[in-house]
Amino acid sequence: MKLTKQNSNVINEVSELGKQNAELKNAKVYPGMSGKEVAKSNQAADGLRANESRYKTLLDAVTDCIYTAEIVNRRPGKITIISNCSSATGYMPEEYLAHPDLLYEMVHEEDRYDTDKQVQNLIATGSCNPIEHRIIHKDGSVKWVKKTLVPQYDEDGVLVAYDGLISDITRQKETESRLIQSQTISSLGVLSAGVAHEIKNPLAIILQGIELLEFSLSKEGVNDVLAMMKDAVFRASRITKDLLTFSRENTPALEEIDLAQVINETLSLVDHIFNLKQIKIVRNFSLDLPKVKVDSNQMKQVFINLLTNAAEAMTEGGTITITADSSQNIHKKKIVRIVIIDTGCGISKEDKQRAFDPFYTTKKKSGGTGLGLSVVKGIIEKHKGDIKIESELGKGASVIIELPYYENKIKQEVTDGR
Amino acid sequence: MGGSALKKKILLVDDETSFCALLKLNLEGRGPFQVLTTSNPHAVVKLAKENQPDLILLDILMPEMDGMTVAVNLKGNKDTEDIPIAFLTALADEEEVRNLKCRTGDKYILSKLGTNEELVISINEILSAKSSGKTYQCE
Repeated sequence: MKLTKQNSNVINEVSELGKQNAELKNAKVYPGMSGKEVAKSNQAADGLRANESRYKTLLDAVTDCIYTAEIVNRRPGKITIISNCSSATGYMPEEYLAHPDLLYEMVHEEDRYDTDKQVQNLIATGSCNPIEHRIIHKDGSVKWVKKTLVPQYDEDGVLVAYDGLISDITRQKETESRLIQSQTISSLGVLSAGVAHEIKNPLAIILQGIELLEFSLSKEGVNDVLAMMKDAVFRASRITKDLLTFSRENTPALEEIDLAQVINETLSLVDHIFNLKQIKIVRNFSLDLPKVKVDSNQMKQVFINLLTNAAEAMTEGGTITITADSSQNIHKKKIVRIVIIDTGCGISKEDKQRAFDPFYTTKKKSGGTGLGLSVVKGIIEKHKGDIKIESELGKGASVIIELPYYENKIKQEVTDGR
Repeated sequence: MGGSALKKKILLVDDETSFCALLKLNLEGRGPFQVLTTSNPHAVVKLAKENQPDLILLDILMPEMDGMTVAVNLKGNKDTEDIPIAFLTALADEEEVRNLKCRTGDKYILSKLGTNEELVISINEILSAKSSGKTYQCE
């Protein structure tokens, strides 16, 4: 945000320098001029050079994309100058200069009305508010940008061009969206905890009633009904338990630990599931895996959730590969990356997008509450880490966890297969 | 009532009267138990003193007085200090049990949302641990 404000100031200053330069360019040396007039004109030329140098320095200092577009017949015309555009948009200046419509075409279809209106306002009134909109980056990804436009007038006060500043605000938008989601989850959590506690006592009474009827009636047909009722009570009880886990605002009890050991311990807890389903586990842990500062119980909860999810996605056996190594994330931070890859049924695009949403489940029939992955995401985020899912329907799934690490390294044996 | 001497006496304390009534019937139907119930936590020490139960099943979250306070009162009285106490609670998931254990020391924690079969097994283990002088480790 600071940078964008600074860049706005720069663009205003650049615009002012442009005006000064236009005036300075009018001061030329002609034959027959007096010595005083020549000296004044030379002074103007010096001033012009100094301003141009300052202009260039300012443009170099700006990290966002800056461009100048002509206005012809009160309509936006061709682009005359453009710089620093490749990082925000992926396109090089010469591509914009060769294809004047590119600046318009890269705008996300749904946002074109807003960007058109911004230019129209500038032309009609001489000013317009900055707007935030999406663009399609050259690599095909969607980016959020903030666009500021500043008018340029000629000496007669006619609007002849405008300067545009495009700032990449994708990360800021992502943070905002995460914040909104976590606020929603947090308020939902407080409500859930209260509801879960209140529901458990009546459930206990229903359970006692069912067990008493089972005991005293003991008739085949009736017992079937009672068994169904009892299942329903246990299901409701499981939901309240998951709700409580989900709603807890526990601060992780951090200790420096070997994540490979935590994964191994977790695997031994869920071993029976893999044996039952004939699932092969492949462990591929880096020899010099750094220690991470995490809450080991919470991490076990994460891996139990992910491993049982993977097992549930594999109906006819298969392989779960767990890799653990150290690396750098896209922000150049040192991280330990854990990847759990299964050969199961995969996840559809829609399910993938909603996988971390509370109460979203594709396993309702088997008693899923839709809170497992929400809890996992919450834990990873409390550890300042990141989690994402890569998958296609029918092609298995990979869950990628990234956790920040510290420099001390430990040795970890590589174990392959089972 | 010759059989009642063999029956183990349990004092059940829970603010939910329906729960008390149903669990009493279930326990008495499934084992050699005589279950006394009360929904008044203030009456627990007096009832325990008079009836000398083999075990007290104590709810934790009660509006008038929480189970922890009742347990402290029982342990603070020489006539009731040796009676084993098990907290019977609807809380009881793994983490809550861990937290409760930190607060209650070696007290037993049983779930209200388990089956009565499991509950009877736990009760019998606590009672046999008491008679043999061992400490029953409750999971």
